[in-house]
Amino acid sequence: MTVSWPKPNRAIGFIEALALTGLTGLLIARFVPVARLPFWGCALRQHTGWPCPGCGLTRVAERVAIGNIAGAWEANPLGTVAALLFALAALVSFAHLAFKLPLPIVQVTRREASAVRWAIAVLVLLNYAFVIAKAKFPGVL
Amino acid sequence: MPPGGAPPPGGPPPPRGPSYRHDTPWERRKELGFVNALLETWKQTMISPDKFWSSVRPDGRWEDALFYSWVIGAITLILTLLIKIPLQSMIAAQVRASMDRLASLQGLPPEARSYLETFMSLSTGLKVWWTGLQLLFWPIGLFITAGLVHVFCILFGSAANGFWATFRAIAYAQAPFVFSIFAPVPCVGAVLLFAAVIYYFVLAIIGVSRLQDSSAGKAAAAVLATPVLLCCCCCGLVVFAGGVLKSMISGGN
Repeated sequence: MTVSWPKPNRAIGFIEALALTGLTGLLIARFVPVARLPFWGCALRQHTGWPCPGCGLTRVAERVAIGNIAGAWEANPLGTVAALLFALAALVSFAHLAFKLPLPIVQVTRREASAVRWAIAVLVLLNYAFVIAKAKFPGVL
Repeated sequence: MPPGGAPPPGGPPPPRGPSYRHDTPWERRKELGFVNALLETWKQTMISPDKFWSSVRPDGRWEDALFYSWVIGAITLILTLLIKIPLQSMIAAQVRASMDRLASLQGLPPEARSYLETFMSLSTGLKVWWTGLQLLFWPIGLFITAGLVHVFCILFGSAANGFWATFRAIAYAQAPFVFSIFAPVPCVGAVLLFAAVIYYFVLAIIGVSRLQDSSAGKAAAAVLATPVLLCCCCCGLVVFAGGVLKSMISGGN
């Protein structure tokens, strides 16, 4: 893996897009009661009793937006990590745009990229197992 | 060329080679004129997407792509509003019929009915405000969509040319949404809207595949992962919308 640092700049890019996504999501979660909408919810869970891999993400957004990280973790651990990364992107983006903070350019080898992808796939499966266990076998965890 | 042999030297360049790429007609609008450039870009995107995407530069100006998408958005939203206003009473009656049907079939909660009725009874002034708000947030939506798609481009290994290539692909792929101006037209509108959304995904997949120099499979995974994730987040909403759509198409029968 190689990391290079450009000169201080305010060029907008991917981090700003992630920051915008995170800010929008967290602001909606904070001020719009989407979970109270009558038709909001997981149809898979309603019809089969089994959660989908994304079950709990609305609760994650709502809880992260008010700083309840433990509560968010209970709802969906990987979703919590993603929400925190979006929030971090917002902070980094602010520092980048306000103070010309240079953002590192990370280049990984094909093998490293493959290892990261496999790790994410395993994390997604583990996270789904956690969500299922929470919903179907609450005594296990 | 003999079967199985190498291509002759000096033949046509490969469709994805950088030398084949140039500015889109929209990026040459100073030379072609605003309307001509817009129409030509839209036509190429819709009629010959493979040829169009093979010619788009991944490192072109993102501001041009954003402006194109915003113009498409403005045309779509304003024409939709103009069609929606005279059809307002007819649409409201149809949605009420659909809601009655849903309520009897699936036990539509009274709160949902109340929300929908409030939304359907928006005055013309509020509809104009709503359109203006959508127009204002169009670029933000574009950034968010491109950001999410690019996250999956990185995960699926189709991000060779960086974020702005994905952004340009998503921005130029907005062309089919022009057909959503017919969305307020009963029955036909819903079908056209559905077709526009499907064709947007097709264009986005080809665009990401060409601009990121990746396989169609990886590009499809990257583009479709976001709607799949959103379905996971709010599939109840999707099932509800599907029910309304089905009811509208079948005319409540």
